[in-house]
Amino acid sequence: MIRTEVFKLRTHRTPWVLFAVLTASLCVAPAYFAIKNPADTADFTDAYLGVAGIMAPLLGAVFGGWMIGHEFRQGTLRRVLGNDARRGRLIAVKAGIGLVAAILGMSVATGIGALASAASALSFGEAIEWDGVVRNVLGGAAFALVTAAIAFALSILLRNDTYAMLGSLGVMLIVGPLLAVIPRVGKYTPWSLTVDVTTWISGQGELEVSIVPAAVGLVTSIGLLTAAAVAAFHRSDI
Amino acid sequence: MSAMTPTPTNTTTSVDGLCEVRHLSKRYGDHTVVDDLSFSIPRGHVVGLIGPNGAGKTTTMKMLLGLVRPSGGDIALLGRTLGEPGWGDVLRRVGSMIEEPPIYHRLTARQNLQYQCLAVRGAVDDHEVDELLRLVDLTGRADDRPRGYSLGMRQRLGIAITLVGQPDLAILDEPGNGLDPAGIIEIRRLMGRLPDTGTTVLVSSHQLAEVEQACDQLIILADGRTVAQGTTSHILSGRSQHVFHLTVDTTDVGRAAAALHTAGVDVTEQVGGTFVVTPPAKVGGRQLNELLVAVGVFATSIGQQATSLEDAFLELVRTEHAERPTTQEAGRS
Repeated sequence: MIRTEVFKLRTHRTPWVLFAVLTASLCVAPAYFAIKNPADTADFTDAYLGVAGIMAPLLGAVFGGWMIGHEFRQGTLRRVLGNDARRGRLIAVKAGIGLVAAILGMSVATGIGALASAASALSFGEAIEWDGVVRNVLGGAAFALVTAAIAFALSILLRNDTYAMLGSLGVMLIVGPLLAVIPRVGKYTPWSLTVDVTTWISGQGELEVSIVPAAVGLVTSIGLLTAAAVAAFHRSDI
Repeated sequence: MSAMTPTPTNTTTSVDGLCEVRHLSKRYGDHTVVDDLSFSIPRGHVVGLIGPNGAGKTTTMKMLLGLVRPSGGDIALLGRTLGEPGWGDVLRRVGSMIEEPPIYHRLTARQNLQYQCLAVRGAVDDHEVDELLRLVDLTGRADDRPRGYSLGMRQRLGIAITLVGQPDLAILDEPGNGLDPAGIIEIRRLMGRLPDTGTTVLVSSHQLAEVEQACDQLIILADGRTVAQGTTSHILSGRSQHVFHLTVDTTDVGRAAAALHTAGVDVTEQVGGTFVVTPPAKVGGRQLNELLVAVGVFATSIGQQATSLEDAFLELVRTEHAERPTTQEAGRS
């Protein structure tokens, strides 16, 4: 099952397109700055982190929803389960391989983006200050992975990749911030906990709740959603 | 009482059976899709699973593959019961195409088959992939994405995917759907060759004429139950119609018609000197001839009308409907 899932990731276009979009979006600002020098080298890191912070969750939602959602859409899940009926294992393998692929893809893309930024700055004799950037990137990656995990679980519950992508983005970008403004309980909603965890990773800003309860709460929230998805998948007729 | 047709096949399959289904049922709330269904699939045959829309064919096939959980009953496939340890190994020896060809549209035909090789064998076997592409006549389009394929080509690719790893059982749900006559014939020929390579075929279809030609065994479902199972010839021979075609010289038509009418033979159609008649139950071809000879008419031919699968199917399904009380009636009684 692991080999077949890796084969699918290698041969399907979607993961490569997502990787190419993330890489290209991270290279746009350095390319622009190579033509028109920025006033401050901090513009490089600001643009780099800004683009990564927007694009990674968006693409994470698409990737998370696609991992199993496209099998529902195409009717190929019957083929997959016809070869191996272990449904729990299928979800675990897809989640594991998706996680590894997402981390690998984001690492390579952000690495290329960083190299492009450094090369662009070098082209007019400047060097970029990378202090704190790595932690910021890691924080953004964590936010993207949470978005992808929600999309993955929703795609199993909704049996549709498009709804899963929109649902996870809705939760992370619209519903989450709205719920967060509720006095007292707002800071314990999954979105607020995610923000707390990413803030802690990036080392910038103040936490609403401390890291341990935030991390535990976030993992529990995602765990409950995943458990619901797994239970529904086990019971459902395909 | 059901119209179940016991046949010698039922007794032999328990020894040689590839698949045994006993008292299988599937309910969605109050709605029963499959109701106490029992049948067996013998090895080395092309077995047709036919029934009206909603008879439970696709649900039954899905239950055989573990895609739909039965509400009751047992399924034994290749000697193992559904859900018991080793069921995964059984599934790897079963190829299936349910509802639509299980194709990854972003992968080429070759990649689709390579993927299936990995899933079934654990490694890509390029020789097998080439062989299957040749078998379904897709060698020339092997490196194209199925998105650009015709419906027939997709169906053929779906069948090729089903056959990866030379399965013991290939389950094909409506493989002729949407195909033109040439495509249907192609698929029929392909299915006919499979038992020789060790693959038993279970196929569902609405195209009864095709099923009659392609399948040597039949399982007929109605309202989620088996109404007949056995060899195609046995099912057809069991319900020969009491309809005769007789031809007389055109100059004798009047006398022949009068004689038939007098003897109580129902003439359903008459064109020129040819009559289509339904005689009383005890009157056969010989008696019809004697009847005509008695009035000096010599028939040039008398023959009993052959029963098509369509006729047999309709009769069986009608009988099942007539003999089975509706849910409300059953509830009242």
